[in-house]
Amino acid sequence: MQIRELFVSACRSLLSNKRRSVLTMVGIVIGIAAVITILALGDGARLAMMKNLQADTSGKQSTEIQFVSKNDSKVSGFSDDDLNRIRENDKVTKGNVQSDDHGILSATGNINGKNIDSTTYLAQSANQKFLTTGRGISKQDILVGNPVALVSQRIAKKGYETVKNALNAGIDINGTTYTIIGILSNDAVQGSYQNYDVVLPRQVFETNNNNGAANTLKLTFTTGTNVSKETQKIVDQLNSSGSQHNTGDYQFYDMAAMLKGISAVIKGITYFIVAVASISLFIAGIGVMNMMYIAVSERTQEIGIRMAVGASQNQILWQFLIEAVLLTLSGGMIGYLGGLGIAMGISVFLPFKASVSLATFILAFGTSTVVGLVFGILPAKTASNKNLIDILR
Amino acid sequence: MINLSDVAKSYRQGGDDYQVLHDINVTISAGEFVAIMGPSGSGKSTLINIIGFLDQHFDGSYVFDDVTVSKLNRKQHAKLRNQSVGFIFQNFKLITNQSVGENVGLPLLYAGMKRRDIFARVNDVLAQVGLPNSYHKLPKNLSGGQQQRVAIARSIVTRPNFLVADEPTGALDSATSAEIMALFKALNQDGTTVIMVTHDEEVALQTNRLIRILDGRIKSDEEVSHANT
Repeated sequence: MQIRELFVSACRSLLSNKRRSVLTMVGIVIGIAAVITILALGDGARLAMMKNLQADTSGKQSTEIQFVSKNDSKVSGFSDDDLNRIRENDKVTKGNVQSDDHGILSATGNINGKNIDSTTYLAQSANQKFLTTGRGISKQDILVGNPVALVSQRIAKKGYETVKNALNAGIDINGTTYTIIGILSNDAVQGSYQNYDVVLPRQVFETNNNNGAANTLKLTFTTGTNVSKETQKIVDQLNSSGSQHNTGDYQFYDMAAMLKGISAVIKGITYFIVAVASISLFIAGIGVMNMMYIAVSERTQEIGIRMAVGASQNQILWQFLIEAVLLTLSGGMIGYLGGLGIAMGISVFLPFKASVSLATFILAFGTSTVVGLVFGILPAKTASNKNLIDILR
Repeated sequence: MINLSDVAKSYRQGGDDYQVLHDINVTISAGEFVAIMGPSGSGKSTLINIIGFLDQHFDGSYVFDDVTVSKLNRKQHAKLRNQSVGFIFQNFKLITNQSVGENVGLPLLYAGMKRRDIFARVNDVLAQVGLPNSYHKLPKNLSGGQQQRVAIARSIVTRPNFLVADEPTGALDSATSAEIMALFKALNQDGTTVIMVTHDEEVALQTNRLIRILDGRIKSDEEVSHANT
C-alpha cells in the first residue's frame, strides 16, 4: 500500500469520528499552546533584555577597556602602537581612546586662589554651546592649541565675584593655567544628563595632563562578534605586551558575561515552567492512547477484513500509528498557532514582544509527533497482533 | 494448484489438545468448482481457512503452486492472501463506513496500486457482478444479496488464482442464494477456481466436486453428476 493511502485512510477514519477526535485533540492543543506561550514570552523577555543592555541602536556592540595605573601616575595606557595593533583586528570597527563616553571628566582646579572641583567637558572642535558672555572656543583655538577655557557663571563668580572680572582672567585646571574667554550658563549639559561647568580644548588638556585621564578605550565590534571573548583577548594581549603593562593593569568589565548569566536564569525559569506545562502534554498523550485503544477494539472487524484481503501486520500497525500521529500533530499545530496568538496577545500588555522562532515551531512539531508515536505505538501493536482467525470467526 | 498432504490441526482447549483436522489429503487443480460439506464442528471452516491462507498454524504440508505455504513468514503470507486468493464470508465482512467502491478496491490498495487506476478496475468488477454504478453507495444501503455481490467483487478484483467462499449463501434467502450461485458458476465457467464451504445440499450439488467431511476427516470426495450434463 502506498504511504499516501495510509494517510488518506487515517484521515478518513479520524473524520468519521469527528467529535471523539476533536475531544482527544483538545488535550494536545492545550498542552502545546501552554508550552509555546511560555517559550515565546520567555524568549522574548530574554532577547529584549539582551538587546537593551548590550548593543547600541544600530545593533553594533561595544565594550570598554580601562587602564588603571598602579602608582596613580597620570600616564596614558594606550599608545599609538597599541591602538594600531588593536585596530588591525578586523572584528573591531572602531577603537577610540576617550576620557569617557561624553568627554566629561572631573578635575581639580584653582581659580583666583580658590580651590574648585569642576566637571570638565573636553571639546574636540569649536564650541560655544550654553555661552552667555564672551566668545566660544574657536577652530583656531583648537588648531593652535590655545589654553583657553569656558567656565560657568557659578565658578566665575566664585573666583572673581563678577562675570565681567572673570573674562580674560586665568583658571588652573590640573595644574595648567587657561585663559577664561567665555562664560557658560549654569545649566550647561552634555548629552541629556552630564552637567559640566568648565569647557577646555581637548588637545590642550590632554597634552598637559599626559593623557592622564584618557585611559578608557572604547571598542566597537562588527555585528555578530562574541564581544566578551574578543575583548578579553585584546585585554590579555595588552596586559602582556601593552605599552604600559608594567605600570598598571588593563581591565575589562565583562558586561556580556553578566548578561549571559541573567539570560541563563531566565532560560532556566522558562524551561522549568515548560516542564510543568508538559505534564498536560503527558496527560493528553494518555488520552490519545485511550482513544486509540477504543478505536482498535471498535474496529476489530475492519482490521480482520483488511488482513484478510492482504494487509500485512506492518500496514495495520502504520495505519493506527499514523492515525495517532495525525491526531497529535494537528492538535500540535493548532496548539502552536493558539500559543503564538496568546503570547502575542499577552505581549501587548508587556514591555517586550513575544519571540517567534523556528525552533519553537520545530519543538511543537516534534513534540506532538513524538507524543503521537509514543502513545500510539502500543494500541497500534495491539491492532497488528490480533489473530486473524479469532477476529473473523 | 492446491496440494494438501497429511494436514492436521489441533486447538489447545484448557489443558487438552482438541484435534480438529486429521490427515487431510486433498489436491485441487485450477478451474475446479469444489464444495466442502459437513455438519457444524466437522472442521470444514478450519480447513478452508488453511486453504485460503488465513490460518498458518497447522501440521503437515500445504504446497500452493510450488510454494510451501507453511514455511512463509507472516508478511509473505499476507502477500499471498492479497494476490492469490479471494475470500468470501457468510456475513459479507464489508467495512461499513466505507463506500462499496472503496471496499472493493481495498485489496488493490494493499497490492500497491494507485487510487486512479483502482477506480476503473473496481467499476469493471462491479459491473461484472451485476452492480454497475454503485461505487459511491454505502454497504448498509444494499440488500444482503447485493452486499454479497460486493464481497464477491472484492474477492475477484485482484484476479486471484482461486476463490474461497465460507457459506456464501448462508445468510441469504433461497432466491438470492440462487443468484449468488449463478454468479459463482459464471465465474467458474470463465476459468476461476472456486472452493466453497456449505452445509446446504442444494447448493453443494450445483458444484462439480463434492468433498464431505466429518469429525475432521474426509469422508468422501466425488464428482457431482448433473442431471442436465
